[in-house]
Amino acid sequence: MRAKALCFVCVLACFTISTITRVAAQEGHPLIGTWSGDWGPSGTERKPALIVLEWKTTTLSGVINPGDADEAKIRVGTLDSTKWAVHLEADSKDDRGNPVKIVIDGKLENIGSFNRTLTGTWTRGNVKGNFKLTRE
Amino acid sequence: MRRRHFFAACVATAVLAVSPMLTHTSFAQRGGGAQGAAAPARPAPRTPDGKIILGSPVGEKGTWMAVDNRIAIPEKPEEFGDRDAAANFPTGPGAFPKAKMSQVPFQPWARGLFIYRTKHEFEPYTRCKPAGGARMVATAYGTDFIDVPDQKRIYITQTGGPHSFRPIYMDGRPHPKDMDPTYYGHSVGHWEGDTLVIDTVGFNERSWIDLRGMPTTESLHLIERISRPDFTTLRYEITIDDPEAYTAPWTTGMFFRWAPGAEQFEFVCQDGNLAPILMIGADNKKLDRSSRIAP
Repeated sequence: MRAKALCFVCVLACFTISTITRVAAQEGHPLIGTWSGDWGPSGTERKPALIVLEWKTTTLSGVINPGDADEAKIRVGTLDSTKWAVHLEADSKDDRGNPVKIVIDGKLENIGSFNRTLTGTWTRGNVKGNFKLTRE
Repeated sequence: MRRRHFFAACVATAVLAVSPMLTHTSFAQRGGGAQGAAAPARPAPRTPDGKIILGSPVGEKGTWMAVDNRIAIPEKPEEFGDRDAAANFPTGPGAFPKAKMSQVPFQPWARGLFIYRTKHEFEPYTRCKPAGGARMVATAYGTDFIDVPDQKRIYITQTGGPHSFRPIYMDGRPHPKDMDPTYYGHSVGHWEGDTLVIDTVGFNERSWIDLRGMPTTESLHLIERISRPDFTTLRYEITIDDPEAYTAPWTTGMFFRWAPGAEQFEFVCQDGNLAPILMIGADNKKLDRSSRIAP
């Protein structure tokens, strides 16, 4: 019983320390990192989404859903820092292997926070929906 | 104990508040000109072998206080932080020829982030996090330089903030090829005449290199040039080279004023941290606190 309680306290302490460290972080380019969340055309029809973004000199690049069947390399990536508006374009494939274009337009919020968010519209082929991603 | 810290903080704040005026006067006097009545400045101290002593010479007490710890001068309304309005920074020919904000070659995202940080003022340093570059040197309550020739190292020690130090390796070693990014980075130095030249890379992106939050990335490369033109003046020049955040390297700096008699003291930032009161103001309604970042 004591061992279980001790284990619980240790896990809780580790979680708390890691959370505090992450929340207090201040970083460079606000889009760099791994973003996770979901997207979909309605509140009930949602799919998990993961985007990894990189910044090199003046180029925003990255991958949508890395490792998945619909993995898509970002072809166009821009950030309008006057409005913190993000625009991403990528070419993916549908279940039959046909090319499908992905267009993401979002707004970056809570930039000072490690766990900042990106929300907006997500269009995949002729399916249009919304999304919310949080920086991990 | 807290009262003592508060008193020390108040004294230091008062020194910081009046130092620009004192420095301005001092620099103006040294300019001489037609009046020419000013006494010659006391020369910088040197070791028996003639090397400049950047810190306290033997038998004397003192520490360095930044005269104007900004690394760029704001021009447009959105570039002015709350602390700009409260301070009386020196201007004119005696002031350090530091960059104006319009001369900072920001990439667009970096300027956007700088404006965001100006608006929110959640400086990590004031919340006990280490800060590299100019903010490490222009610390609250005083900075000192400790030269240890036997080790071939110079240590820069700071009283405020995280109350930490930065070693400058003077033994000719290169930067490590693979290093984990850190708050202060890895510093190597050498002397060019009477000027200490420090080359630093390996920064993480978590700290600010100045009190205003000039954005930087892991590609940051800093060159600091530190000299002591006379006993009471330290000249600090910094070149910021970060191609991920700026379109070109840029150079700026600041003067430091010698505070005779003052010494570094134990400062535990986490113990009753007064930063919100001293530097931002507990009742300041002008600042946007909507960001969720934890101070």
